Amino acid sequence: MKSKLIIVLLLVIQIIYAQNDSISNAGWFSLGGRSTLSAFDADGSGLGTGGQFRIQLSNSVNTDWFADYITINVQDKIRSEYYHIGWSVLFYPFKTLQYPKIFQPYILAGHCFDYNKKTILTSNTSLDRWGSAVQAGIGTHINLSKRCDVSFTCQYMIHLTSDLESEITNNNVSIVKQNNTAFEGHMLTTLSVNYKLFRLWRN
Amino acid sequence: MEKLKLAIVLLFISCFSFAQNDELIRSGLLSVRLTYSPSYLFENNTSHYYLHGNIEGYVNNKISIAGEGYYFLANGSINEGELQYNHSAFFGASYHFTRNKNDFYMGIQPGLAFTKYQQALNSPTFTRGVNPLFSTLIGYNLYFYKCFHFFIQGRLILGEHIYYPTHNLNEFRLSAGLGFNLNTLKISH
Repeated sequence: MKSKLIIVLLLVIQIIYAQNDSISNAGWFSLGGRSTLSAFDADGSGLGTGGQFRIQLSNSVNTDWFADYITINVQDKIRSEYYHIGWSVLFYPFKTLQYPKIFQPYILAGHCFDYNKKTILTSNTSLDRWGSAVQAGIGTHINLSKRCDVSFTCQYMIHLTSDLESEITNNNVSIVKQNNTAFEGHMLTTLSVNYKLFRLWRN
Repeated sequence: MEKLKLAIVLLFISCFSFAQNDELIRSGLLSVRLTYSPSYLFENNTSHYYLHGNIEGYVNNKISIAGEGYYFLANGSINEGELQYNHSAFFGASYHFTRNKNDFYMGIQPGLAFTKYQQALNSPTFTRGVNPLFSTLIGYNLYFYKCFHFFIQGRLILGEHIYYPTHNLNEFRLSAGLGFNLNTLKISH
């Protein structure tokens, strides 16, 4: 009797393991392009272009490695350019919302290196700074197929460095480097297209 | 008897050609296009003309990934203070609605513009820049033969040349012509 029970238990464990193995999404490497709208920045709103790759760690955790180039027009007087290189961790809280479901929501947070250069358009004088930033937000994949998705992400990025400030008063235009870290940032809304190219590993 | 044979042969040919068309738009289909593309700039109601090239790979009959480039050829306006060039490159994906030979699609493609703006005609003052772009596109392909297709595409572009003086790059571009296509993968049964 005991031996039968052990055999049944072993079979059940094997079936469960086999099921998990067949539906695991860990190891997928995907590549994509993205457009970003920067809003609620002290300088105004701007548009960015970039790319990213993803490495999925498990069914509920993904990682997003990105690079963006964003430009902001400050009242036709100053060009503010942001270069972001960073990474985010995506967590899928709903196990039932995965492919073949169309919408796959997630929360994400991460860190990035951040370079900002501001240039006065008329005189072409500029100031720049290197910094670091953290970002967090929410988003959703729109799964078009098993391998291809469009992702919509909204996140807030806080710069952990002293910002460059645009000062425009009447005809006076200047760029000032703040002495203190102001924890200012911007809202980044990103639309990306991604394709799962291959699996780096299988569970 | 001869008429019957002819009818059978014609039926066979038509079935064969239908089967070819039916399975043309599938995983592994690679399309290449090169054409002349006029545009309309919303800011100053002028036109630009581009040489438009693209390469598109179909992941399946619904999804394709494409890289596209526009080489600035001419400015339709003779006004002073115009873009001297506005080359651009895009990368993105499209979702297709296919039926037999017909292929309607829509897509999104982020991109970059490489621009030069001259303040006045023959003026030595100009600015060059690299500017992020966002574009959405809609189009139709007719895959009428195993290696040729007709295409038409409309693209809405949003962007700005943020150099002195600033210039809005919001534009609608239209492309149409004959494209070449090749199925790079065998049909998997």
